[in-house]
Amino acid sequence: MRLSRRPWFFLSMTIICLLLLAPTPAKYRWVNESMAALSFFWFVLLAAEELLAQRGSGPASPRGGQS
Amino acid sequence: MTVTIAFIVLVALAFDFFNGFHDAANSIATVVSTRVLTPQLAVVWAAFWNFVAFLIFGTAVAETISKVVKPGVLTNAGIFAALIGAIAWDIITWVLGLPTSSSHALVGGLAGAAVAIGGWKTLITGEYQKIFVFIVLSPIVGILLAFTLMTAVFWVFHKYRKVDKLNRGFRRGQLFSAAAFSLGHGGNDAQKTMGVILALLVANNVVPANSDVPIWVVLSAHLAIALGTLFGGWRIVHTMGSKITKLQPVGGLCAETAAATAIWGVTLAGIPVSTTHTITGGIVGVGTTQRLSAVRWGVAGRVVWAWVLTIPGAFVMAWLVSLPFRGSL
Repeated sequence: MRLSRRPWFFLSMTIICLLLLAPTPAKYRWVNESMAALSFFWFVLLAAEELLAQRGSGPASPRGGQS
Repeated sequence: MTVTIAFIVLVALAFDFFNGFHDAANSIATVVSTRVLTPQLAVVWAAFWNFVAFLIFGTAVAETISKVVKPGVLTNAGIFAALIGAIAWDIITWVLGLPTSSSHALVGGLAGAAVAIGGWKTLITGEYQKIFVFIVLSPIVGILLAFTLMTAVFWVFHKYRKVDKLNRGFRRGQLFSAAAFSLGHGGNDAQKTMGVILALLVANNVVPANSDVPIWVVLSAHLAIALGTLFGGWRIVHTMGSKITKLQPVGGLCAETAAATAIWGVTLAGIPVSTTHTITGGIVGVGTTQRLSAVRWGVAGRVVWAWVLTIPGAFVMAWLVSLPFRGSL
């Protein structure tokens, strides 16, 4: 089972938001936190959707598509 | 002295005009590319909302901009060099067709002039830290809000079969989202020029150090940015509206609403962000709802390079312009 690039794109945004927490002034950290939470939510949702779709379609063909 | 101040105020307003000219694309690219408005009507629409933004937003961003350099460092020649540096950078990126940020060009220009005068210690690092963080955060906010909004719209309307009627609704909705974005653009970007003019007036003892921004400064800054928008920058409209991803009215509506929400929030909080960064993020977010390959990452990558280079580029320009004035600084 493999995830496409899209869930990873959202996970990378989560990581960037969290890495920026330290340099962000305390007053504005809620922006990083809320955006990290939102992007992580999309990562989980998109990853779950892809994994469930792969499981539903049975064993994948060698090229990853449906036979 | 008065003539010098008036001349630098005019240069600042010219920068503001060019900011509107350069960033007009951001306000209207999506409404033009989705054919909701003709290019001529779109610029009038955006310019109007750019101008009336002064009725809604305060001057928090102007105050932040006037504080990026320690008080008393920038004299008339320094502020002049900062403005010329920022304008020069804007012109270079405009010629290359890159949607860079006039705001960050101004911040880079102010830093370049201040460092030329008094070295690195003249910069207020806390303010620059805030600006640097939001250089990265603002497109991310645009991407996430646009993706979320677009997905929500899909969920709500996916069973609705009257596609024509739906499209008409989204096209009308784009008029409001473009207006909201133009208001945010006018509010955030015009205030940066106000901040520079305020710093100039304080440096020349025309107004006291803790003074509010005079109303004539507020009105003239909004008028300049609105006129700049009216004249528009068509090269960048093309990059923003069609090269990053292909947009439908619903996509344009979501991208602009997401960007407008983000810009309104930061403007009220007094953070100078790039409207260009935010709308680019919004457009990428909408493209991502289809698939990542719907976004032309090559163009988006060029945009990112322009962002990375803006502050250093304007810094160097302003530093170079400062050199002939060094004796008088």
